[in-house]
Amino acid sequence: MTIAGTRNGPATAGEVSWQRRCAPPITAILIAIALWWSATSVLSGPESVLRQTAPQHVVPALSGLLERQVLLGDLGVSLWRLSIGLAVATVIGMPLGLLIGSSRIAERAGGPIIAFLRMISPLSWTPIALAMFGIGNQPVVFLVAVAAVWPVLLNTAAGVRAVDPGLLNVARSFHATRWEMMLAVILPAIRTHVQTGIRLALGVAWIVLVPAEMLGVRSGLGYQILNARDQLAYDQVVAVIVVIGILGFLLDTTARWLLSPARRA
Amino acid sequence: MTALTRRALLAGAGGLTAAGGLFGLGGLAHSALFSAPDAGGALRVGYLPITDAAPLLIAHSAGLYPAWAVSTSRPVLFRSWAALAEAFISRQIDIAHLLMPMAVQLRYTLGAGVRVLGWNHTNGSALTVAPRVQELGDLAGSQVAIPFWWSIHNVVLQQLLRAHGLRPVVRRGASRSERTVELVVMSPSDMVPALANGTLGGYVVADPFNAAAQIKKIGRIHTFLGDVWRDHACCALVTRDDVIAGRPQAVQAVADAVVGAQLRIDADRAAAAAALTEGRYLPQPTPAVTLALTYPNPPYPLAHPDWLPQRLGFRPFPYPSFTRRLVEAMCDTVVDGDRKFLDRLDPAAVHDDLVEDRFVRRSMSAHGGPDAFGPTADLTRTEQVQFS
Repeated sequence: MTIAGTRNGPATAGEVSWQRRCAPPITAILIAIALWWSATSVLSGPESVLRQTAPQHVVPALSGLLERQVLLGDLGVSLWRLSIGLAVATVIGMPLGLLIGSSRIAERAGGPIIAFLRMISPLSWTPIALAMFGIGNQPVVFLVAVAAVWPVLLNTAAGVRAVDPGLLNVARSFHATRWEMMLAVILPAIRTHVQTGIRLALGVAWIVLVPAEMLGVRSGLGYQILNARDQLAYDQVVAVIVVIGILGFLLDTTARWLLSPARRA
Repeated sequence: MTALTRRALLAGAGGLTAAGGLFGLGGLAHSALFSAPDAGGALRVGYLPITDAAPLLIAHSAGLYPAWAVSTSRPVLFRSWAALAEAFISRQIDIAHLLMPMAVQLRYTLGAGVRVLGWNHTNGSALTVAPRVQELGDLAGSQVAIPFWWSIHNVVLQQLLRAHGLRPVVRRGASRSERTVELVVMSPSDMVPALANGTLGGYVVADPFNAAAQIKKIGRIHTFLGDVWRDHACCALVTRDDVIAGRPQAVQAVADAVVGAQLRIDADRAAAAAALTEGRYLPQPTPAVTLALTYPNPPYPLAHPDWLPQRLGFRPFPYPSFTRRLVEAMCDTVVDGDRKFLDRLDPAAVHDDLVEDRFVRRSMSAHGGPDAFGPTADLTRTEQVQFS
């Protein structure tokens, strides 16, 4: 028998561990979908709009969105805004982090302002962003960057502070200039910290992106949610929510994989 | 005297957190599982703060709603069409004014039992353009804002654009060489600044936002929609099938009150404007509302002066010819959304299914018969739509 054959084969150990690894999340996902279905199709009243948000309606809505050729376009635009926003945040956050991490005076001077700005929800800048940049990609990129700059900055600064003083002393004994120390010692040493910062920034940026796209743009996942809501198409609203969740999961997994120490070694 | 120990403090804080969390959870579960409390069987009215809502609001301010039929508390203010429709569908409110095309869409996509009782008002919208736009052809390659995809504004605008050799597009940049115009949905309050900073070539919306551009000299009224489609309905008075079935007398009382309010507004528009703003029903300043209700001087040479296109009309009777023409026009209208429900619709059959005019008919005869509301005594008319 084939089944018996595979069971007895050399692949047994790998297969079992594969099953062990995948069975719990798959079961949990199935249970979650069952709960979702029962909450929307069984527990909600017959006239409730919640009925539209049931999984059996969301899947056709998803294919409807794909058919109308709006979903992939929205996805692309959203990812583009996300990456530009992250890039802006890195370009601004890293140098500032280096400065604050390496200079006591800069740290003392900047500390209160950073603490003040960091605790302001990025979305509260929306009216100002719309007034400054008008309607289009720019306000969204700005809001994403405002949200993502702090993890990059703080992690870079922490990285600089955590550099082994021994390394710096060695560099000093070779009469390295500040610039040479930065290039040869500090930058390589803070790599992990910066990567962690960018990964955290990615998470924050993804969360801010969708609400930022609800204002002043005519494309993107956030826009699509509001646009579907305007037509009371709740199945489409939930379809886009599902897409946002899956994409966020993929982004985080990719970032983890790219930055994992095992892969680097 | 017992000293407050650290352990007791921690336990207390933990207990408080748990109690707070459970309390919050209970509140969430309660509001998710139980619908809004019924107002003792009285119907509840919802509205958007625009002049379109005037009949519903004047009926309340003048005390025309009988207390047994309609909740005596103020009509509920909503901030967007979507929010108003959501509350209406989920039975938080029973009576509302909705954009007529939106009522069609809701009935045939959500199956939500939306029923049109009559017209709330006619006319009252215009296309406002930036100063650089002299004729409609100059809109090629620019963005034009509309308040909602399924609105009479979008429907008439697209017909108007096509009649002038322009092609309306959604989700694509407009191009001057291809003579396309990009449509975007915007809230009316954002339209005025967007026109001022040059993002928009124009917008189509209800007053007083057209008057605002005219007064601030950031744009000018190019065409009243009533100059394109004579006496078109903008908003309809709507309720649901279950309300009609369960409380027909109350629905009749609402129809009587609204029709009475429409006559009252028409009799003294300045007084109605004052009542709307002083009663804090509408947030706009009194002069703007007064202007929107009266429009003493047409701001451009009207194409059809005898249609009185600048004048907000308050005729309640829903003409079947309008519904039919509207559904036909909706089939030609591009929107960023699902249009498949239109394929199933027979424009000739929609009116009888969507509109229930027996209440308004009765109210009109109680208020002096059809003659009191306009010239067409036999309650039929031919739609007049002209694009020049």
